[in-house]
Amino acid sequence: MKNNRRIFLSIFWVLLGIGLCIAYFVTKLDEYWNSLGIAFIAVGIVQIMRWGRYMLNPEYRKKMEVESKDERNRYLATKAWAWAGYLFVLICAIACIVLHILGQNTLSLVTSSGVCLLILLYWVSYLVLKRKY
Amino acid sequence: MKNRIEELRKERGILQEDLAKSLGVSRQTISSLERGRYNPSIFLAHNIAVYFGMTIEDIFIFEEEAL
Repeated sequence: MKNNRRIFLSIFWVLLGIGLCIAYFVTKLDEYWNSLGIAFIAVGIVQIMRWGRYMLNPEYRKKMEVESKDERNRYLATKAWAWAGYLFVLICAIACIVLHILGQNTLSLVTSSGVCLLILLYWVSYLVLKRKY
Repeated sequence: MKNRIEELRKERGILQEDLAKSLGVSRQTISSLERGRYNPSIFLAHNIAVYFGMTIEDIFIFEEEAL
């Protein structure tokens, strides 16, 4: 079931990419949409190739299943997200001060809003998890 | 947390790879456990104890300062 969903999603990315590329050539859309279409096609093809290998190679399938269920891997992934979030807040906070000093007040405001939003999301997540566990 | 996994595994002549396969985890997890760098969940600790036919307390050395 999960594999079917993945392959459908991969095909969806490829079709969406093709659609965007066609739209670019037919309606003379912005170059941005053509690049986005190519990116979607590339992502879809890579995912389909991975899925093919997963289905055709039992050894690879077993390895991937162990890797995805391995509790240390899950712990590392959670820890990595926590570090990434913490570093993001730290970098944004420093950028906010530096941008204000440089007179880039709009950018400084956007950056500080990003920090506030992330801290707000942290507290909401914390409260939800507190109720759950 | 210190543990006796490496000692017990070597006593029985088991490879990290084989132990990992039996427990359904990666070889890196076994290596990390043996070096005391990763503390297992209660489920994995239980599975390890069952695998070696011992209790969790026999394998994992609980220390006051770790609590």
